[in-house]
Amino acid sequence: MSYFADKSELVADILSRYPDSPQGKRSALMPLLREVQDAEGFIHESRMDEIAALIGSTATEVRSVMSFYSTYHTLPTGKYHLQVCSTLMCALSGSDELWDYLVETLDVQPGEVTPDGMFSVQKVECLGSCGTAPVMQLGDDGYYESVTRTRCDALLQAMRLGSAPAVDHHPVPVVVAEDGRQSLSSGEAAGGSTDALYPLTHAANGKQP
Amino acid sequence: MKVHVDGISLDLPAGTSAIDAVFHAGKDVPYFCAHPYLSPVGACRMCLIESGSPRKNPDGTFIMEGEGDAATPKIFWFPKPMAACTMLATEGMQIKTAATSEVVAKSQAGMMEFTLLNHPLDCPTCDKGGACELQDRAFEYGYGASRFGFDRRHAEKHYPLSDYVILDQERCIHCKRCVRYFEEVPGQEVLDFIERGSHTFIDTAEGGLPVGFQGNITDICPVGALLDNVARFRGRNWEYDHTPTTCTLCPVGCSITVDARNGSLERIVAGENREVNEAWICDAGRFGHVFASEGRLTTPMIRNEDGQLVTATWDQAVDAIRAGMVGLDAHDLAVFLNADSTLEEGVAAEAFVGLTGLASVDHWPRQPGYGADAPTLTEIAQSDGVVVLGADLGEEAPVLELRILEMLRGGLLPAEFHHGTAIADLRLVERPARKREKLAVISSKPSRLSENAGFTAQLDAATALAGLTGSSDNAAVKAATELLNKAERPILILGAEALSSLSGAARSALQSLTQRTRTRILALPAGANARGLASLNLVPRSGGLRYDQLSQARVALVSRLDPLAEGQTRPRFLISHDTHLTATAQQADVVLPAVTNYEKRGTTVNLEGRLLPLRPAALKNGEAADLIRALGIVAEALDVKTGIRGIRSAQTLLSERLGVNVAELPIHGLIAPLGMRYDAPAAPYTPQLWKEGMKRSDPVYSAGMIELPMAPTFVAGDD
Repeated sequence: MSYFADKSELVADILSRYPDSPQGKRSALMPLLREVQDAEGFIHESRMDEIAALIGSTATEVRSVMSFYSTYHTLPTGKYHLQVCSTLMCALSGSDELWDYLVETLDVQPGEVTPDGMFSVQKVECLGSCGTAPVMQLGDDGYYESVTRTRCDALLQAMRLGSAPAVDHHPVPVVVAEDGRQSLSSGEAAGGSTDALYPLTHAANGKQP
Repeated sequence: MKVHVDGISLDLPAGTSAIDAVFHAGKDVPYFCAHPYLSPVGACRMCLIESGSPRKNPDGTFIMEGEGDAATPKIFWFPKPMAACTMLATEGMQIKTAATSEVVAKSQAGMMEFTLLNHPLDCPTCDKGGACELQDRAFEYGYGASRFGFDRRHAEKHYPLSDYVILDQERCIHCKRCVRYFEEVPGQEVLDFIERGSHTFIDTAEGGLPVGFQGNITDICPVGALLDNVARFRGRNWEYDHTPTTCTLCPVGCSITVDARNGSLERIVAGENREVNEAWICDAGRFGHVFASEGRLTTPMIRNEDGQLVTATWDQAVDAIRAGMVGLDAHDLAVFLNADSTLEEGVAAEAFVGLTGLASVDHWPRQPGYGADAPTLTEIAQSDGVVVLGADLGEEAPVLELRILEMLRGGLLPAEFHHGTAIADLRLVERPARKREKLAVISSKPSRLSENAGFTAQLDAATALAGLTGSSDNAAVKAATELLNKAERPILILGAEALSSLSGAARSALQSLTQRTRTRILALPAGANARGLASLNLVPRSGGLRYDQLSQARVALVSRLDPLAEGQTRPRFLISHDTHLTATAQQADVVLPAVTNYEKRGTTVNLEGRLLPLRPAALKNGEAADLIRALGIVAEALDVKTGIRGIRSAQTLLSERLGVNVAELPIHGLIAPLGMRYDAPAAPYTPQLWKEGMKRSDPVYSAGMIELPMAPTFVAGDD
């Protein structure tokens, strides 16, 4: 089944944004990839061939460009594609623990989709929201910030019921107080604490976990 | 333009890259990604140099340093080392290499450390070991010891990209030469980097590499990532006997190096000939050498009392020929030689024919020619309008196809310096724009080249030729006529199909076309040396037989041709001079062992009319001999004395005739006038590049046909 066969108008529209030359035509590669991924959640090899034919290139070329970007998927993704930031700031704020919890709870590994087709997970590099670490991104909709275990549970619960909670829109920048605590311009405390994720109960009674 | 490299002043033409300035000065800088015939991209970052240039004031005077007369233009150094391959040398530039700059030496060693970071230490089992650019450069410019103890990146090893090329993704250092080669030279985007950063690897999504020119990536890979699968594990580089010679599979005459080990031909790599093949050869030329070391005939063979072929001595072969010729004389003999025979063998045959007065002599494959003033390959690459008519270049002359594709990208031949071809010619760019409207390809079936042509049509050659010289309704033919009319240096290439349909009327129409449009015509010779042999009188005399009339002959000497496999019937007495026990040799009365063109000394003439030398590689061939010797044997049996008894006398005669000392031809050859052309009607001929026996997988090897019917003892006889 061809994806673009009945979308000649869309293809013409995308191609019209670039110079009408063999080189110019190739520029349409990225939006065409995006189009397929938005519709199907990932880009199958047959789609790569199709796009290559549309822009006068080869599947190798398409795969090369596509594989450069981690946000194009070659494997099917779930309805909710959850991406956990694993770079330094989030890692310090417990993203490793969040990731383990997520993978365990959903019983899914990167590249897999839960049997019900709802969830897929991916570790990503810095999402640029270090002030609100740990951060989890939903598809390309936006961020859930300061994701504690409780919040994670609540998010997954809502998603299982079929409606993902609205993503956070925290205004930036955050204000850093003298004591190092960060707060948003609204006065709300920013950023999560590992304490919230993993209460240090063992520290209180002097035991190592 | 004055440039100073490590204190040495050079006078260089504008447009020189800094890396060429360094090499021109006799200095050295390591590099992996630059290649003379590919665009410089600065991918490997090894060719670091320190450089600086003088600057000018707004009034045009130089910014000076120092006082009074001692003042010199102040050099503004780049704050960091720069990649020399992508930097243009400019007037007054100062360059420091690792020889004079510690900064450069350290940064190169640091770069080398990065390059080796993920490179596996499998040099002892790597075919490239001993001829590896990375190995050499790591020795010359690296730290010598590794500071990295952790696991290296693991990726696909021994991954066959095709039947001929094997990829080891771990060894790849991401120089991008192979990717650029496919994009820029044959214009096929079949290889590319997948993923990014330290995960990057080379792969294809096309399910294999296109056959044609894929083998060249094994030459240009600076490491052992892309290896020749035919030569894999067959020998180490230092064990090979390297023989630079000329390929004679097609009339292009590419420069090759034949690598033999223990008398067996194991590998062929491309040689550089700026005028002919640049640095590229076709897959047949590179991989199709299996026949040279498999199932060779090593001694003469004759029929015993039971009619079986048995090994014999040369004297017994003479006796057998003499016995077979009883009641016949030299006029009954027909001599047919392969059109890839050398000029030396050609003059020997011509002299033999002159001496014996026989009328039936022919060489095959042979086609009528056209004109003597063929354009050179460089002229084709620099032409501005090419029409290819009735030719399948992929079968007839593959590398000519690459030179035509070079024409589409502007025909830029890199400059030449003291060190050879420019290492980084900055005029070459990545993803070159191709002017497809400068090429028209018209033939009866689609070819590989037609995919790159602006105008194509599937027409038989006679119709197309008539349309080209007269008028036609076909849009592509019209466009081709227009192309020849408008171009300043138009070239028309005629292939086998066109030449066989070239009637007298078509010839004169073509002549008026060439005069009108100043089109130069390249008529593709049918055999590797057909153009050279055509200048010798090796066509049937009046009453003589052509090659396709073999069955009418009473006695025939057939040299390295297999007419019986092509459906001809044997003459009464058949002498076969061949490298293998072909269908013809199996039926022959006397078989003389022949040498392949890899083992010959001699001269061949390519499609431009360029004399190119053949040099003998050290291959095991027993008593095999060239045609000169075979003719000598037949002459002995006929009791005639030939003047040409060996290569030396043949070369003397040839040198006198051509006015060129063919014994000392430069390896890149030279163009000399060949004299008049002998033409005679020829049977139609279908060009075929890959012949039976060139691949190891060919049925001829698996069917056990290479086993020779060796008799345990020699034929009882004269002793």
